Amino acid sequence: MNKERINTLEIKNILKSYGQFPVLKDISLSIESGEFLTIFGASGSGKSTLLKVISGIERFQSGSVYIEGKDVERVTPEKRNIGFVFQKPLLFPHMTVYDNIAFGLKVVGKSKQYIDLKVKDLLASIEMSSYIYHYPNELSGGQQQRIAIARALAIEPPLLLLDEPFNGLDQKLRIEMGNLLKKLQRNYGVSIIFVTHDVDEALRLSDKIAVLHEGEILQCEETHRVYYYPKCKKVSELMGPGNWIEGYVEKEIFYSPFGEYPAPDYNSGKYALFLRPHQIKENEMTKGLKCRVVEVNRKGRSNHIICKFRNTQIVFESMIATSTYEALSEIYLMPDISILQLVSYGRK
Amino acid sequence: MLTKMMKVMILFSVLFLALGLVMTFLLSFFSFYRYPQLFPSGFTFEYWENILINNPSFFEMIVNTMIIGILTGVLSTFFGFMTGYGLVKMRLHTKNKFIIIYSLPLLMPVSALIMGIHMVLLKIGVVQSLLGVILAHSLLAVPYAINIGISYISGISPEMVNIARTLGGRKKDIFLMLIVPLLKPGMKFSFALGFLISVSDYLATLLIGGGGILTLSVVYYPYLNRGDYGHASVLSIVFVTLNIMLFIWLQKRRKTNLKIGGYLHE
Repeated sequence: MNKERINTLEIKNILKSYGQFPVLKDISLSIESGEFLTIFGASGSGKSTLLKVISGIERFQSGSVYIEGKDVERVTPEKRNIGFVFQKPLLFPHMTVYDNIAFGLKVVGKSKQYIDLKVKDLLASIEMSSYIYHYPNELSGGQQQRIAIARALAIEPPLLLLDEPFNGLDQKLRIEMGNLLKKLQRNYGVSIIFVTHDVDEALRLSDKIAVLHEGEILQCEETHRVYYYPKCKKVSELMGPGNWIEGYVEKEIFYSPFGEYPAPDYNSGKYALFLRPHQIKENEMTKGLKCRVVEVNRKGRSNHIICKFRNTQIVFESMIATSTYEALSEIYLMPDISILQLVSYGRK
Repeated sequence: MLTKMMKVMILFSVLFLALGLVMTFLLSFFSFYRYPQLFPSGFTFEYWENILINNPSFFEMIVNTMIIGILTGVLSTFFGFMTGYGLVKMRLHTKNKFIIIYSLPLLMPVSALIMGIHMVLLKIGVVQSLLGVILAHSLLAVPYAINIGISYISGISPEMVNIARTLGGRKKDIFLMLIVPLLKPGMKFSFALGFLISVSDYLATLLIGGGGILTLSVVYYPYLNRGDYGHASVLSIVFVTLNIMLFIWLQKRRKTNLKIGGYLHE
């Protein structure tokens, strides 16, 4: 029997506004069981509001939200069984770590024995068993956030929402927390919607990324597709520096300033080739695009070399150890790509 | 090393608190102490005996003071926090006007309020009774309790309440397991203030109680008016002892109470 697969979450055409000001404009997206979806966008793009709509904390004007196939529009947050972790841990300050994690289980009347087992299992998963009777103010920010995640997982939600949970933590701790989150996701089989405005974090953790801009989802696809094949310039800009190389296809050949490439899958017309800075390399054989170096931006382990070709600005990446570029020097650039993926030219 | 500011603070504490208490203590044991004498003379237990042993209404006075004080603290805290909760949660443009109205009694002298309270309590027939005095004291203490309530209730992060909701907490669970424990320090503070207002009130107790309800302050003020510092000092010490006991109870916080700092949302 061909059984239809049910998404953990499906939202359709959500419209939400505060007074006359629209915050979410016709949002539709879905997440499969065990999937890690990141909602990525700048501050004020509507990311947190979207999570609140999904959890039921915020009402919406039109559209529908389905959790495991059930319409939950009229279901209150306490009955949706969705875990939510906010930017701040917001642990209950008068309760111990044990009581914080047990809260959701106590209110639904689980037995003491079950609660004991569950809390201890979760504490072991987050490697904090020795803190069971500590109070929140005795824990560091990272530890508090771990407890907040365990507390949300205690109710065994099919979906866990995390609203920029690692903000305020240092880079090393962010990476550790991200790894822990992935481990928990695997162990508990929960689907995750994670909100962030950190590109590296989004790329590191997600199966899929939805790019939200001014209340609209511009692109929602697998992580690598959003990064390497943005559907529009806004998506490419939000995800970091990149180059739009304009050209055209004629008789299955893509003509660009970099040269000619076979493009058998494309109809004739104007197209653009999108390249991230690390996808462009210098060609020492004086072949390729002849550019003039304008500026060298230090980015830590690598440098971003900004060049000019006619009126077009091109950015490419050079490892700091080999970076000897000087302004106004002439160099030849070549794309370093294995598969040609073009974007129909003329999109906004 | 003590800083200059700390030295000044210690000096002021000694002058205004310790010195006053020492003087009261001395006056309760000595019958004669006049300027320019450095030390008092005429050591006696007479004042203590008169107040604690020979005074048949001492026990009644203490019991009345405690009952009225405790019930005033409880009632004013209950009504103050309920009103404060309503005012914080209310989504009305006129909310601030309500808060100002509720705070107005704080700006008025007790004598101005007490006449109106007396008229109302007279109409409902509770003057010259413990209930009447408790109600009058509660009415005086409620504006303080409302303001304490507002500041504590508005300090609870709505996001924390939202978290509790997503964890399955119903309104009742959230109120009992989250809101009430977080408001406990404020409630204790409000109770203490209500208790102190009640214990130290003279005018309302005398007017509403009609002189029939004996409390510490009702007995204390006549002694002071007559210039009988010996008896007044003994009553002052009893007074201070009651308040110190309350203070110790408030300070004797359990470990959990120490943990609830930092929940206020920014």
